[in-house]
Amino acid sequence: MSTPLLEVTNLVKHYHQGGRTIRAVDGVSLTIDRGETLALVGESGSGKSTLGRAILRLEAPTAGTVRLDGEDLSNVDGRRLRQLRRRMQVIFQDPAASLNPRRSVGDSIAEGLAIQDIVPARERGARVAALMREVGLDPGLADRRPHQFSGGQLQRIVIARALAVNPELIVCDEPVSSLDVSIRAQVLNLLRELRERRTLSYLFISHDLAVVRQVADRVAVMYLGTIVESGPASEVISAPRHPYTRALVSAVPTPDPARAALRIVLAGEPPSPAAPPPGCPFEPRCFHPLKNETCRSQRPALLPAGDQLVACHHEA
Amino acid sequence: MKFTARIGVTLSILLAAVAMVGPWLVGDPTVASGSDFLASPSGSHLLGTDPFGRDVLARTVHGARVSLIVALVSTVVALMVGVALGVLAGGHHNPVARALSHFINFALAVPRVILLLVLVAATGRLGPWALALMLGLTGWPTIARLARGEALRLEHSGFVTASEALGASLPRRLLREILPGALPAGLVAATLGIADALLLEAGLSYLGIGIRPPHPSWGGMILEAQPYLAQAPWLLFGPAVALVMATVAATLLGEALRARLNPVQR
Amino acid sequence: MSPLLEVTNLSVEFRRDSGDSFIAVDNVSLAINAGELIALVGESGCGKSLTGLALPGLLPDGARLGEQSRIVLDGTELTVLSESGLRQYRGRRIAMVFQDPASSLNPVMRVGDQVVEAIEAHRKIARQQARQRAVELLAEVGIADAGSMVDAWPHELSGGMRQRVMLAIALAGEPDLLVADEPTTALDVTVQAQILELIDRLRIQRSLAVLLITHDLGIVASRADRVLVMYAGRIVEQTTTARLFDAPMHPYTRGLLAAIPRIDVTSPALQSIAGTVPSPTSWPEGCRFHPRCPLGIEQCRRVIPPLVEVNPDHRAACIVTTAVEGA
Repeated sequence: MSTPLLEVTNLVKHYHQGGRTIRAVDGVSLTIDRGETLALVGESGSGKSTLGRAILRLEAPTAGTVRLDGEDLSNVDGRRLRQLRRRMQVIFQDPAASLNPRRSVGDSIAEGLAIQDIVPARERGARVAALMREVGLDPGLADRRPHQFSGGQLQRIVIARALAVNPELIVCDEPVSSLDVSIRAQVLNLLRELRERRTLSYLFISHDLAVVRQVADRVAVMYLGTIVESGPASEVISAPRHPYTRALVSAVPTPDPARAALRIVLAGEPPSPAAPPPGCPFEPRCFHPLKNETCRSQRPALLPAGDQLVACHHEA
Repeated sequence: MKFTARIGVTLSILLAAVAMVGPWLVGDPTVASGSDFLASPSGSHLLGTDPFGRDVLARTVHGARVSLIVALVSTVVALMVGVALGVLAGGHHNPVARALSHFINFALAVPRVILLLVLVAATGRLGPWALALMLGLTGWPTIARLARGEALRLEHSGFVTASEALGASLPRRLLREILPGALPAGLVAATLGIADALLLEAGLSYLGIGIRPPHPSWGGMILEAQPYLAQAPWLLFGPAVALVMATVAATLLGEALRARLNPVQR
Repeated sequence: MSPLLEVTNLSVEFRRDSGDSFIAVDNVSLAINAGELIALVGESGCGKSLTGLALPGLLPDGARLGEQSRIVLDGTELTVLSESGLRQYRGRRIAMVFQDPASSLNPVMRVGDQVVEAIEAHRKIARQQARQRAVELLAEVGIADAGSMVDAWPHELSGGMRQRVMLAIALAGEPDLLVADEPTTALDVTVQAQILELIDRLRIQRSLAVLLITHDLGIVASRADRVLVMYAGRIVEQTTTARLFDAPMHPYTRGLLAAIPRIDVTSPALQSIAGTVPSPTSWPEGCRFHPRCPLGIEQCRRVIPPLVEVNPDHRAACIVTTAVEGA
């Protein structure tokens, strides 16, 4: 079995804010193989975005390791890290904010080419044009500035920029959430095409299970900094085991009046990572019929249950 | 363009033209006419003459050139130093940035006028260029503060993070993304600082320690006009009106620049 | 029984500094009965938010109502009222809730005080009584421990709680009509469900008429009685919720429904609508959807299709589909 492309082991990220410790990511392990798409799903406070940033090394983890194709990222110096960045890229939620408003989009797309010295300067124009075509944009627009494009087009530009360095892994952090509904499908289709053509792996971070269903091979559900359930996407979504996953799945608004009636409405608020419960993080809002004292005092481990892994005392 | 902005720009262009071309069109400011002392405004001397018989208009126009050069050079110096230090101070977890931040805060607390007086007293006679340099080296903290604010904001912006994700080193990010982003704010502060520089230079010259005679300067002319206010009030008109116009022009220009740059930024 | 709110030929026109003007809302008509929840659905730039803002007279600077616009609330024509006349309605009979509670709440005022402020704005009442009423309202919107939460600061509350506070403020004037502009878009999915349930409960308990403005057809499916779909400033389809999902007539509605990623189905390739949503300054001639429409014919380019009744209580603005399949 070949080395997984990405291997995260016991990643922890804590922030210290005025005396309190914010446990944003509290011990997460996951792997992504070549060509695979893992979706990281959760709501606010789940830590999914922080996990993404820690994996990309945009922030240093408090503990745990991240291995890219076997190489431990915490042991590399600045220069090697910058070289390794070629292999893992990122797409953020707000494409307008990701692009320098003063630069032409062509320059922005070429930025990676320049930084990583992929092609000599005179060839960059051609490469930019090819990338723009690959994401479905007219290369003639390369001299325009970001404000002249729509949201969907901007996201394509951001994707082109990420592809410029020929990465193997792309972390997509809510890539379609800020786009209009009719445009989301376009961008998702593009991401799927690119994955086939270039054998890409995606770490797809989203709160939208419906979107995740369309792109992910496997899903990991996060709650309060830990993974509470993971497994093949179709299984986790159609037959969720963890109570939180069940509530999440049923809460997703579906354009189907018949389905809409069967909704679980969770009581209480999404939790704050500043004061996590001592036992199971979901316990305060949990509606599982077998909920008991163990849930309150002991943190459940992520254990196998069928094809999935579940962190629940009563489901594993 | 807003009305006030138009005034600011027009006035600035006018004054710049006067400063550049004017001195060739008017007479020599240092030549004493020999006969016309303290003459009131007339056909041959539009703003009258001073106690030495020198043409006030000529002196005002020449003074314009000196004052504007000093104001502009000092502003450029302040801008360069201020933006450079401000941007470098914009890091978050960077000890150098933190030290620079403290330094900027300290520099902001030092009263500029007193510092200038001390420096000038210590260095003695100053030509206009040295004076400009000194004004610039005391005027950068406000610009640095604004530049630092922008740098802090930009460091977390999407496109700077994207740059980092592409493998850009910190120097590259500072130079290519943060510096150009912080520059507009610094530019606005600097333009508004032109007015400050003008007034400071006039003030120093008025106190006798700025531009020294026989070079004409507005502050110096105001100083010389003082004893003769009752009998020859026209001595004051030239430099005072010129100073006010220049200050107003610089301020309106700065405001116009700020209004222009804001929608682009946000 | 006549509808509580009847809007006819509503248009909103923008005049820019440069002198030229453009229309952002084009001839929208709708009616809501008391106790009914109507959804106004569309993507960004379609004019749905402006339509909502027009009702309590909250259009931004530079925007004005078109001459033919009529807004009748419970028999009174609102478009002819002066500013002071409108103020009797704003907050009192028509209440609005917006998308981002974080920016709608005053960060330096306690939450309870903001509710009290809303209460006092609409009637003469002693401060002590107003405060009591505020606690009652906070409890009504589902805030646990309202007695002590009344003294909380906005930043201490989560997004869902803040939106509940916004609803309490909206209810302070005892309105008949609630206009909710994307009330759940900024919230987590599980919280969305809670807030929608709350709005529904309030609707039933108080016989509120609710105009829900949203881009999310999923929300619409679960809660709305009737749906109006907007595109480029015009209503392109309106009918009951069941019919809209069952048998959509307008190609845009069909495209939209097909483009929504479904959680219960995996599609090999997601359907998408080609092209981009046009901005109000560059609306195409004729049917505004025709550049993106798979069914477009030559005539679509020339004529703006009117809303025609295809079936009882089902109107669509498309010359192609209504001709072929109309009853």
